[in-house]
Amino acid sequence: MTEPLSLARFAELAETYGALARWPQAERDAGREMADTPEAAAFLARAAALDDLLDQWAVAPPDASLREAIMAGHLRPLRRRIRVWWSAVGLASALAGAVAGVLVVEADPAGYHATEDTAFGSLVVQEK
Amino acid sequence: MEVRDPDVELLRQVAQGDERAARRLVAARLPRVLAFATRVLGERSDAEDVAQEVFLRVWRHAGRWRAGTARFDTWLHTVTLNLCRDRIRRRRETLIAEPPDLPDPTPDAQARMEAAAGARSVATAIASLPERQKLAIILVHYQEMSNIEAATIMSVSVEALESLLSRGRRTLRHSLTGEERRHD
Repeated sequence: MTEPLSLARFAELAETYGALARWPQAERDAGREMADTPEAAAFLARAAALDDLLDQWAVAPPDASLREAIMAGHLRPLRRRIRVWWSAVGLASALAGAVAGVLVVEADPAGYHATEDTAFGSLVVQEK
Repeated sequence: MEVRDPDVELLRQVAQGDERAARRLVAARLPRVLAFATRVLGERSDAEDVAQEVFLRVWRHAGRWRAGTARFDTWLHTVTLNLCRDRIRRRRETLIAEPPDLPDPTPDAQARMEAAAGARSVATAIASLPERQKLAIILVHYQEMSNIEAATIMSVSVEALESLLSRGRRTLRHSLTGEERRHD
């Protein structure tokens, strides 16, 4: 069960927080139960009048250019990560190609000239 | 005590590079960050710079965010406040809120001018408050933070926050309505 508030505490809360919606959670229910009494209603009305004045200071919502600038900050590191990933793939491919090249050269027997061989025999031999 | 935080799952997705999650987070949180910074700084363009810096930190830290005793929204306000304070320090001058942008010359210009005048006098009255009273009013009234969250952001006790709020509202009532202060 909600602990009842004294009128003095009700007035203090209204003075401090304004409308019931902004009161501390723990005292809001007790405040609602009292809100209909004439004295409490007068405190709330006074608080609401100040709340209404304060609400005149509205701030325009963010525009699209600000939202996009902020989103660019999110996408930039992502794009950088993708670039780094592709660079790594490229580097790995280059290294793999280099290693494969070394292996082919290693596998090439000394003195073997592929360009001098044809389906019809060795050009070198034919010239002789 | 661990608090339930609706932003935790969204942050996890953001950390994985999910652009749609990032857009949802911006849509949900940017208006609050911008409104908070605008009211603290009194300068829209400075507030937009701060908002960008805040979100750069969000993108950087999203992967490390863990649900704990503070909600992400509270952390966001703390970061925003720290960046605003840096900016105020750099200005090296007393902060005076700029009036809101002037309305466009449209058929309902008169109504807009009246609204702008109302907004201007509220902005000026709040800017004239002592720094901590101003901050307490902005966090509790405009940002609708609970007393515990606002006290956490300001690094004060709840009792101190209540005292700042109460004094701030009393001063504002006096300056905006002309009503005599009963006690201070």
